[in-house]
Amino acid sequence: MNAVTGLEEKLRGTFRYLAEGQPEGTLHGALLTSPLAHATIRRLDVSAARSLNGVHAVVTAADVPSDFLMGTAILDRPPLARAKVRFQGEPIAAVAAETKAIADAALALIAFELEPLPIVSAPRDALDEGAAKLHDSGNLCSDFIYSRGDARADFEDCAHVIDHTLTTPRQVPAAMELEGGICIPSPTGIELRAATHSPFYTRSLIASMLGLPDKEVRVIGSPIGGSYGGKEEIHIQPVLALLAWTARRPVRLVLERSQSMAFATTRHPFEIALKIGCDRAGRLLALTADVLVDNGAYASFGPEVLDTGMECIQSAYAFKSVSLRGRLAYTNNGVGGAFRGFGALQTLTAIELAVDILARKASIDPLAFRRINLAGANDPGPLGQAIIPQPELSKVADALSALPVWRDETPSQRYLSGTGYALVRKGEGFAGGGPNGASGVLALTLDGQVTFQSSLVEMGQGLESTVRNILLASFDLGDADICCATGSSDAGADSGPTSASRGTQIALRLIRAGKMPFLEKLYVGAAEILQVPMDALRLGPGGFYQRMAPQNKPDLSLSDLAASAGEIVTRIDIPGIETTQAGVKVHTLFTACAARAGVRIDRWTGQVVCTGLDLLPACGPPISPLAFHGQMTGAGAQALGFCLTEHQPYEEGTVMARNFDSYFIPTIADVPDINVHPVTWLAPDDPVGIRGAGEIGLNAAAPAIANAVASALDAAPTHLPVRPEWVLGVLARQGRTP
Amino acid sequence: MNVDTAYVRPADMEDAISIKASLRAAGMYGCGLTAAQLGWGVKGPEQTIIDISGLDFGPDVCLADSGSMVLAANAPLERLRLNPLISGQMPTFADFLGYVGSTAMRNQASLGGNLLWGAGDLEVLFAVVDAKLRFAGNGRAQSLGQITSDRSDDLLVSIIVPALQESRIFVEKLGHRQAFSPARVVVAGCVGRQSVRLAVRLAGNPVVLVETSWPMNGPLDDALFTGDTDIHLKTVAHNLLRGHLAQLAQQDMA
Ligand SMILES: Cc1cc2nc3c(=O)[nH]c(=O)nc-3n(C[C@H](O)[C@H](O)[C@H](O)COP(=O)(O)OP(=O)(O)OC[C@H]3O[C@@H](n4cnc5c(N)ncnc54)[C@H](O)[C@@H]3O)c2cc1C
Repeated sequence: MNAVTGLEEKLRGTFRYLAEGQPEGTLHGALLTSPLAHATIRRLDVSAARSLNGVHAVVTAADVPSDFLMGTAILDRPPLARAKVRFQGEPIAAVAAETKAIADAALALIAFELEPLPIVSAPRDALDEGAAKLHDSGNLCSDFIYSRGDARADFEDCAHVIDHTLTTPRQVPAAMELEGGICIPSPTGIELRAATHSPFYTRSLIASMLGLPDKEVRVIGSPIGGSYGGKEEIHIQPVLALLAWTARRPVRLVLERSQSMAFATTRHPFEIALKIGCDRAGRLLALTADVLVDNGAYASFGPEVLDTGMECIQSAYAFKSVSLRGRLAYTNNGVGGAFRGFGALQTLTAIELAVDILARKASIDPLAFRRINLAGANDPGPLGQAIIPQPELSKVADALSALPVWRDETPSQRYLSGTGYALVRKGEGFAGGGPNGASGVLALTLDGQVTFQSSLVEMGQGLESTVRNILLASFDLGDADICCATGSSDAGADSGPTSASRGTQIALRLIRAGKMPFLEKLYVGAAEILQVPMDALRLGPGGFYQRMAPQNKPDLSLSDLAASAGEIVTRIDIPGIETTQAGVKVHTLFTACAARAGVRIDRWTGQVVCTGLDLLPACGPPISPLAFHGQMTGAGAQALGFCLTEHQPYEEGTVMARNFDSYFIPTIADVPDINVHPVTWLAPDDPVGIRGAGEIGLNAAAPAIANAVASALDAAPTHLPVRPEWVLGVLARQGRTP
Repeated sequence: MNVDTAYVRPADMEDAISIKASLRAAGMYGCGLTAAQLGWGVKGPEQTIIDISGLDFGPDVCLADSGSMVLAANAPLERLRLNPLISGQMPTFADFLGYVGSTAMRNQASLGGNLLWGAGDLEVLFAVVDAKLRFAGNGRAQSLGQITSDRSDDLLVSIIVPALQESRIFVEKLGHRQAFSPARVVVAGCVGRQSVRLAVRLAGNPVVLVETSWPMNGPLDDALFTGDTDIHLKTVAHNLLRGHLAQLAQQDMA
């Protein structure tokens, strides 16, 4: 089974993403974005632009209902800046015109005046009393407080205590496909072809903005040409829809890379101050954490990212007591948002570094230290919540210890080498309150195919091949008999977002739940047509066979069954696997993963090279092994970027990297051999039997790489990405420069 | 590529030179155009491009009787990288080419473009081996450092790398990542029997070349590390040169 949707077309360059293949007469959409990071809009006059020949729509905040705001926990973001701009690159107005040249000319005719406001660039300053406020509610977007036990007292009992502070980078999604799409209006509604993780959510949001009933908005959200969370956000869809609805013509609007680098939601930079301590035997007694997050200008998924980061800050370990505080500050540095790893990446990297520092201080081998402190299989979750038991944690630790030893690098005057480990866990799906449940459909369509219909989306992660493998394993059918229809609001059933590593879990549980009722309907239909009892029949490749008179072709093909019985449909609804807990957002289903990384450090240049990476994800048996492998190795590459090269700097609200010539994603030359060792064992009574593979590899790889740097240098990184300047500084202080 | 751009495909070298002479500043030679396009806005170039990529400048590489190598200025870098004469005569050059752009870039990018663009990595290596650039019309071959006027006014035809049998060469580029990265530092050295030529380019600064006696017994010349850049890059350049030279000195001792 091919793990890549449309592999051949992609190789030939004929595969079409959503913003390609626009209908005849499609208008060109273009954006006017803010050159300033923080300003009051004093004047905005689009009349000259509107009257330019060839211009069919010019829209501003005045065309959006005044109470329409976007966000998840906090609604604070207008699709087009209203009264104020809060980040450089924020859309102020948009035009739809017959050509790009006319659209550009129209943009130039828009008269606007921005009155600069003080720029809030550091999250710590943002929370100062006198700081300029981005929003009326103040600059504290959200916070998190949790404690268990008496950390202060437990620190007194510690034999070893360490402090470590880590700041993490602003990573940009850097997907090949830019934010954008095509919108085609009809007299009563619109069809929106633009990448989204959640076609139904996008549909209702756009419908409410345009004042349309949901059913008049059709959203096609996949295939997506890369997202990593960036398109989990509502991106430019509302502006695109508004243009098409106003112009009454199809519109194509796709950001340019330089616009995307400012507009796309980024990974939140965290500053994580940790103090942890253990007793003489190495048992972790106490943890205090103070986390400050640069949220950027709008809430987006920031509160959820903070919550998830704080929930994961104990990694896979059992601390006796914890005292945790997290704060999310509004700044004028773009917008932070959903990003693969979702806050957990940042805090897991920090805690795993701290654990290694403490292990070294206690003179205990880092792997042994981890084993001593591993959370028990039936322990409550990190915030005391009930969780699905995790007996696999100890299997992961076993597998990590059992990895064959790496051959030592030949000792050299120039290079230092180091090996780092991590053992982490992160919640899958959304925290209690969801959306965690899902709906889907199993149907025998009129063309005789057993089809799984859902609104889950394909974004290159291999959802479609995974679904096909689940269908093949669930029904004894041939490859030609099955079909997977994903990615749009046509599904007839809302499967919820394809986010938080939940896509495979949801598909598997939906098909599992729908299998028997659906089969029952097929058997009833077939028995009636063939005039035999149901138990005389067997479903096999191509259709139904009579058990007693086996033939090499079905007695009733699936297409004949559909032709006679009509479409056979089973709607499936599954509940979320979730618990809720007062005061904090908690997950119930956790995924574990370990990693080992090797690095080589150049004492002459300070350059760090990752020389090897092992990933040990406990996700059960991979359903689509190639896609699973792809998720893990891709995660390894993204972890490398997080640790070694990627950061979008802002200076006084100004985006510093506008293209990939100054924002450095690792290339294939930077990526070492990545070996994936799936830990397939999950408890026999595990309610799912698998875990999602989307994020967990990244969450383990990054701390392992950071720990490898720490082990090579005998100094833990305090900032990521690790800068060669910092490495040379450490070596100079240690007297180890050449 | 912008459709409004004017391109000219000269029939031969003379044709190219006469087109350039008639267009003067309104025309420019272009080979792979990979460097030139870095300076273009979305509108494309303002000058007419005189495309020299298809002209016959002789074989990509040939060996003169003197043992020196003659390289065609319009040879694409990837072809040079794979050329057996180069891997035989100057393997350091062949290896280093692997760090210039990507394969796709090197299939377009020419040696001449790299040396004349103003920020090409190969300039540093070619400075230490004292390569000579031969331009059309004036039979004289010039060293890289002698080309002070607008580098692309004359047509560069070939590059002559002197015989290096007794020399040992090193070159190293430091970018933001392993490959496909603008250079932050490039250093090179060519150690002969009694002298050593060292060159450094720090970020976008001009190449600095220094010649001194070998074996070296003093510190590195500070002149090598001048230029408008941060102290870190100067330290790195210093470390790289010191490191490579120490290795070569050790080899000599052995
Ligand atoms: C993505 C990307 C990555 C890159 N990476 C690197 C890198 O890693 N290292 C590096 O050194 N460079 C790099 N470059 C820059 C460039 O690709 C190379 O320097 C290349 O060798 C330039 O050659 P060209 O034939 O494309 O030059 P062109 O762009 O065609 O020309 C460059 C200049 O030289 C002049 N010129 C060219 N040939 C002649 C001639 N025969 N006579 C007179 N004038 C001439 C032109 O008029 C122009 O002014 C990169 C460029 C890009 C776009």
